[in-house]
Amino acid sequence: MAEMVSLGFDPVSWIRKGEEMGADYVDVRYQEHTYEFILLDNGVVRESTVSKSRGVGFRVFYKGFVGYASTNDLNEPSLKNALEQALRIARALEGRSRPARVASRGVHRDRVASDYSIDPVDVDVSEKVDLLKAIHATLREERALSSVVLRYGFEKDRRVIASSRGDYVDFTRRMVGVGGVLVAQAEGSMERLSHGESRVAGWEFVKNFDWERLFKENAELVVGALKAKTLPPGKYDVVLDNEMVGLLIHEAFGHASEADIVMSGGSVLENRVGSVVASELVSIVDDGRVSGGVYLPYDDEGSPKVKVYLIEKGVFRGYLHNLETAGFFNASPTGNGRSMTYADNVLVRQTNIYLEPGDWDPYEIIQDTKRGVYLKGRGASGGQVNPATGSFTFTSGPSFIIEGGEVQGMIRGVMIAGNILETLLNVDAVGLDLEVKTSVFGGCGKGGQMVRVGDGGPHVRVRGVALGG
Amino acid sequence: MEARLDPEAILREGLRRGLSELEVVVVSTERVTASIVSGEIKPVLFSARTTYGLRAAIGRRVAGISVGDLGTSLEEALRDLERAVRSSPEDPYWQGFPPKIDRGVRSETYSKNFDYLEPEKAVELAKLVVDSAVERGRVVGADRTTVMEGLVELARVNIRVVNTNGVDVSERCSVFGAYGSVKSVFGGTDSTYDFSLGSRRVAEEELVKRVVEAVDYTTLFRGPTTPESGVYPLVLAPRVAAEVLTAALIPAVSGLNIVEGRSPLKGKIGAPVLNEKVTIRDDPTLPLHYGSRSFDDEGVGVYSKTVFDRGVFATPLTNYYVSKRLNMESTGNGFRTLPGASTAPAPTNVVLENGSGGLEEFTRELKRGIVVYSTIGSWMSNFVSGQVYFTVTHGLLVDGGRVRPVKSFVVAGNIYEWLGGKLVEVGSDAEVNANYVTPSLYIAEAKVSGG
Repeated sequence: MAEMVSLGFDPVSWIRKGEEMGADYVDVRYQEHTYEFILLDNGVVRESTVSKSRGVGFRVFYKGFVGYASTNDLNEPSLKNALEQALRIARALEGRSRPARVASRGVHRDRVASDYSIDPVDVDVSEKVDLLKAIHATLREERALSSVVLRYGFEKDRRVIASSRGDYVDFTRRMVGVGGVLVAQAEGSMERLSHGESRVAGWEFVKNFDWERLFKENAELVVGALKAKTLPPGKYDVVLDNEMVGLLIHEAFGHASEADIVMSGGSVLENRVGSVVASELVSIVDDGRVSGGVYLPYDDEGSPKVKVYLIEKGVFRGYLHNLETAGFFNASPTGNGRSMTYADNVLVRQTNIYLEPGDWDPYEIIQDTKRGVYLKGRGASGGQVNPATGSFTFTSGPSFIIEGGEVQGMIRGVMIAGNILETLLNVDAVGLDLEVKTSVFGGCGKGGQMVRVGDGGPHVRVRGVALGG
Repeated sequence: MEARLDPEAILREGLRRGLSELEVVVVSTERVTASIVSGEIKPVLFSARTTYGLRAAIGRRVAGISVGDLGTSLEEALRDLERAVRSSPEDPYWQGFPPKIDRGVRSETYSKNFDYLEPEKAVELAKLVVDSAVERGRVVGADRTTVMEGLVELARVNIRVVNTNGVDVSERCSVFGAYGSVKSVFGGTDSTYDFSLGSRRVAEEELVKRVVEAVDYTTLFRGPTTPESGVYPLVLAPRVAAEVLTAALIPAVSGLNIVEGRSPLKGKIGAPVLNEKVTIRDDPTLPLHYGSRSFDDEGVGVYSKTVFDRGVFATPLTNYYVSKRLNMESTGNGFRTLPGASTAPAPTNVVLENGSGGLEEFTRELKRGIVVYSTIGSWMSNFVSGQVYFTVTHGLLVDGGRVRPVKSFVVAGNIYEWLGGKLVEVGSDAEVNANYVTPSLYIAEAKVSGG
């Protein structure tokens, strides 16, 4: 009853109704989502918006056929209509699809929230605007900046997952961050740099962070990039900083190890479990609770997110799973069943993917590199992969040439291209400086759904990487 | 779905509470999707959602809220809105919500096929995708052809915009979308290709055509290698041309980016910035095209306009706010990411006018060059600097009459050079990809980073 009062409806009674209607398995996903966004455009508040949404999604299994339906109207007729619609869809698929099997696992009942000290909801908008204005004021000294866009974002995401199995997981996460896009202009040339910092935390993170220093550094970088040269196209030995390593492994390995992609026949990692896919210096982990990343103790099917080794000392250990892919592959669920909202279907998604630290001091990696490129993640735009062909790509922010073991002149941001089954074999140095990050302003897109993720690693050197820009 | 909050009551009650002007946007969406996984139809999804966007001003203080919880009362919504507005600082450029601007354009945005939005229709279309691929696979001699993954989407969207300055418009839109990846196996070797389609009508014939074409391409791109790094003449297939325009050029014509100093086109209205072979229109009137509308998201009437006229930058795209700052009429291009967010200038349908020739002719003309059919990462191109880059997943290397498939290399350049002095020709083989209508492009040189 307490659950019904807090949500405005009782998920368990709707599960029973679904079962009485003939469903073999029902899960209910309830979501309350708040997103606050403030955008200061050249000193003027262009956007001050709070979005609040709430809704319920039903997933129904009927003889192994799956139907989804959702509504943001929580009155009884709308919920009933959605549940019936989900069951109708599942029934309609009989004979037109292959039945799915949900993996067995224990029952989970839990209520958990991410840590915070000051709820950003309780902080007045004027304080948030003042913070952005203070950052903007410090950047006014930099005359080459033609545009300064600063943004503040806060997300509170509460999800309740209940299932026929008896699961009842109630999980709330708060994320907060500040970011910006700086544009510099001189002598007919323009350049931009987009960067920010986010944490799973409350207002205390924003309050205690040295934003002015961060954005002054960003301003120096973008102004420097204006005068920087473009790298000649070709293959280079590269040293990747923490953020670039995160992008590399998210794109170059993470997506291809998502079991729904493997199940579809669309991954070059199909049938590769147990084989060598990377240098023995490489161990890659997906973990929902690592410090600095997005906090995901449970997935959107109520499965606990367990720490999974995708690669251990160069050997591919296994895929990321939701309940359905785990059922298909006779594997254990790994807690990677995620959906963007209550209205979306559950896909297999990464949580926080990172490369485990090695024993190189990052400075020693640079000193040991005769000629190459030091690729920096600050200002990088992201990445993309085609897991079927094995091609992946991602960009860097303004970066640096390495000559004779020393960091030399700046170059403009570059694009990196590679192949999943080749690039990680060419890693020959792994640093000891692990760092994992996430963002409240973006995430990872797949199947039309965007979810928050984290990624990172230590400094890493990779030999012979194609760079263009 | 029936709207719960009454927009007129929101306006009335908001004014009574001391808000000087208000705008209400109601977006109701019903959507069915059928996914394809390894040639099987699953899962199928139905969703119904109504979201309210409430924006208001007190003098020059402006803020907004989005309400996606239908249990929210009028009192709660207005309380949140008022709090947001009162705590927001003044925007010195604020000119108010737009008045009624109706240009008499009524675009075809809804197809009657969407009157009955049944999950079975999405399943039927997904099955058509799978069957078409398998059948074509047999024709091209593949050992096996499957649709690895894909999705068919059917949706109807009702948008209503009301404000206290006299705007009250409604528009009903239908949306059909489909995408997927096909894989053919030839003698133990896999070859894949993606297809996609977006429209406001159920374009079954075009969908089948794209799936068939994708299967045909799995034969063309078998056994790719990576080309040597260097500078090559470049031919872009229509969909790649669309991707490049989307990321590197069109954001630069946003009036907001121009007035705020982040577009290289600032101060260049009326100036030649591209090759005279380039004419680009923004056309919301194309019948049942993906970006067609009669009104923009703030209720301003739309019209077709030439953005680049034979290389000359003719007009930026604007919403009401930016048009006032640029001292011009709104072009009816104010669109939002969320109902409660402010609008920003964005295109409707982008049309690159046909020139002459096409992908096949350009490929034949190449002595040594690269032809690009499919990419990843083009969205990371930089409209501020004009830098274009992408990684090729499906391309051809033409070398002295020999043509072979290539992949996994970066192509880079500058959009103002590619569509300026380095433009050899704009094709006449225009193809529709979502809200872009673009032919092939032939560019004299681009940087290639490969082996």
